[in-house]
Amino acid sequence: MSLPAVTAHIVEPICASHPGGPLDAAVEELSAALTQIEVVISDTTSEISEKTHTSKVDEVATVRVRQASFCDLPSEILLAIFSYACQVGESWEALSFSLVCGQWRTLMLADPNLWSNIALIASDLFPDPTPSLPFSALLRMAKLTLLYLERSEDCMLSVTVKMPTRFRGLNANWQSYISVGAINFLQRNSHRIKHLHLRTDHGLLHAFAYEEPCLVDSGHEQPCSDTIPLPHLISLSVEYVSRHRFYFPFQRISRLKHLALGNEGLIFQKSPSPSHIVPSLTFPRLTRLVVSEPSSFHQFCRTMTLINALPRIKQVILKRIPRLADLSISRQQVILPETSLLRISKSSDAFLSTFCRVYQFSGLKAFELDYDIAERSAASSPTAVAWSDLVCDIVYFIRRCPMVQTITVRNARESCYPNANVPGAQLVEEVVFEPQISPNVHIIGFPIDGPETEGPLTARAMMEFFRGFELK
Amino acid sequence: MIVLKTSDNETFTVERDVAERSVLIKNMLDDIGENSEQAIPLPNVNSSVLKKVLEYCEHHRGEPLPAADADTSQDDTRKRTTDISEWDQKFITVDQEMLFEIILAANYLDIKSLLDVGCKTVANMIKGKTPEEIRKLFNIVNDFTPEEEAQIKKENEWAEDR
Repeated sequence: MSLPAVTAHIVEPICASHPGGPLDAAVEELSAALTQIEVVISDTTSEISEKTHTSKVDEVATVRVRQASFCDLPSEILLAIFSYACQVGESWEALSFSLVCGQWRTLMLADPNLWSNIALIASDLFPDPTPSLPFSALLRMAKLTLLYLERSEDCMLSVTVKMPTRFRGLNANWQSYISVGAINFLQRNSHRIKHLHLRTDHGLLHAFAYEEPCLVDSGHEQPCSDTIPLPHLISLSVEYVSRHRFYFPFQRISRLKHLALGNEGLIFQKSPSPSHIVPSLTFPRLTRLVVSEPSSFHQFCRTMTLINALPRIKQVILKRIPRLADLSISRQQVILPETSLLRISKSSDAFLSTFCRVYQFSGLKAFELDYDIAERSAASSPTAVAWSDLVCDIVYFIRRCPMVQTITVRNARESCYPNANVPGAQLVEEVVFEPQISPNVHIIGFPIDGPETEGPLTARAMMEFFRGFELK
Repeated sequence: MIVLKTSDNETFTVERDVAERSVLIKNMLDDIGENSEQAIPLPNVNSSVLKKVLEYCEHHRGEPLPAADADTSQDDTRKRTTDISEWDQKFITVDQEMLFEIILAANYLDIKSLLDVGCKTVANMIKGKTPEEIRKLFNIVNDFTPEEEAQIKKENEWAEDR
């Protein structure tokens, strides 16, 4: 609808009122203009009303085909989302979700499991050392720990306690980052802990692990008193961030299945055995050992002795092992007969090369090698081992594993396969092959066949390459 | 080949092993028999969403279907994570509405692995956020009554205090 043009009416100043005079004429003119304006308003109003109605009809129509929003998700899906977020979150997610709206609060308060993940975190503030937390933050940490312990009722707990890795001064006080009260509350509920992840210095480990820790909290080489009971603990991860060597406090955990030791300077109590000294640990159900970022090759070898001390360990995972300073001094051969799966993940070629020459896994069935996509540029660093040398070491390692059935290589760099003409940005995603090169070779992530002199790397080219090493 | 019919009456012809990533469709196919050529109606899924879901099923065809108690057994050994594979991450990088449509479709079609990817994606979106940030992100109305607000005042202070 086109709107009529409304002209501006200028009314002359009126000095006196005379019937039939210019004032009446002005009033009439004004009145006519007002009438015209009213008509316009009326028309516009009805047009707006009509358009609003039409848009509502359209809206109703689109409701049927409109796309979903968060409110459309049914409760069971919301609970699944909450469960994931609460389990991995480190920012008191359960509390946050319970304060979003009435529906979320009802759901959160109805499931105590959602409150069973307790994370006391003092995050690293790179590149500077992390300053101490203010008293109010420590108080909040204690109160929230208590709230979570109450709301999780009798559920099993996942507990994460992380100190910063960089703090002010070598003898920084752990109480500056983690609430003493919160640690006490957790100790009292240790029988409920199912998963425990600690990034800790010697002081915090001492205070957390022992029921009555002694006054000296550094340099322990023997236990000082009884450790807290952990009857339901099945996974323990200890990332040790102290320069003090510290006695590993948890000696007996009856249900422990997974043990992860990171950056460790931990000491294991030794017990004499007829042939050699082995750590005296009682983890009757431990099947999986993860070792990451050891401080030296000696330390790494010390941790690996756990595998012979705990023969139920079937899976060994080595993660993020850097180029260690004392790699060249190790000349011994170590035989580990019980392990069936070995995965070396995101580790340096220099470490891998030495590891393959030193260790023998005589009962190994599966060997997995994972490269980190993000760090493939490190291959060109001057300290990297030549791939041909590394393959020699890997083949030497495989030959001494007579039981091995599958070998998997993931995210290998294109430079790993010098005979293959792989475009620079292309990554080899995953390769699985049998070392005996039988007819039943199983390869993932490659075209099975293709031109071998150019184009993408093929499975056949890959096998030929390894077979060449086998035959030498 | 299987014919699927969406809520907006579009039909998709897909290979059986792709369609059978959906437990719902698998059960329907088992019920109607091998040789039936009739289209399977999917009244709760529109064509744009089904196209996306089939893209996922196509990529993951041949992979073993997750066991019903997979989560329980994994939880028994270690904590669950919200890690998502690189391809799945790219696949699920869609706008919010489509994300929720995919989740609802995965739930309806009973494709557990896709439902997990969707739930993990949303979990990653909300973790670490304050209640107010979550409300803004998903346009959720704070419907607490003044009495409830008074009750949770202290908790609100703790939650917002970062």
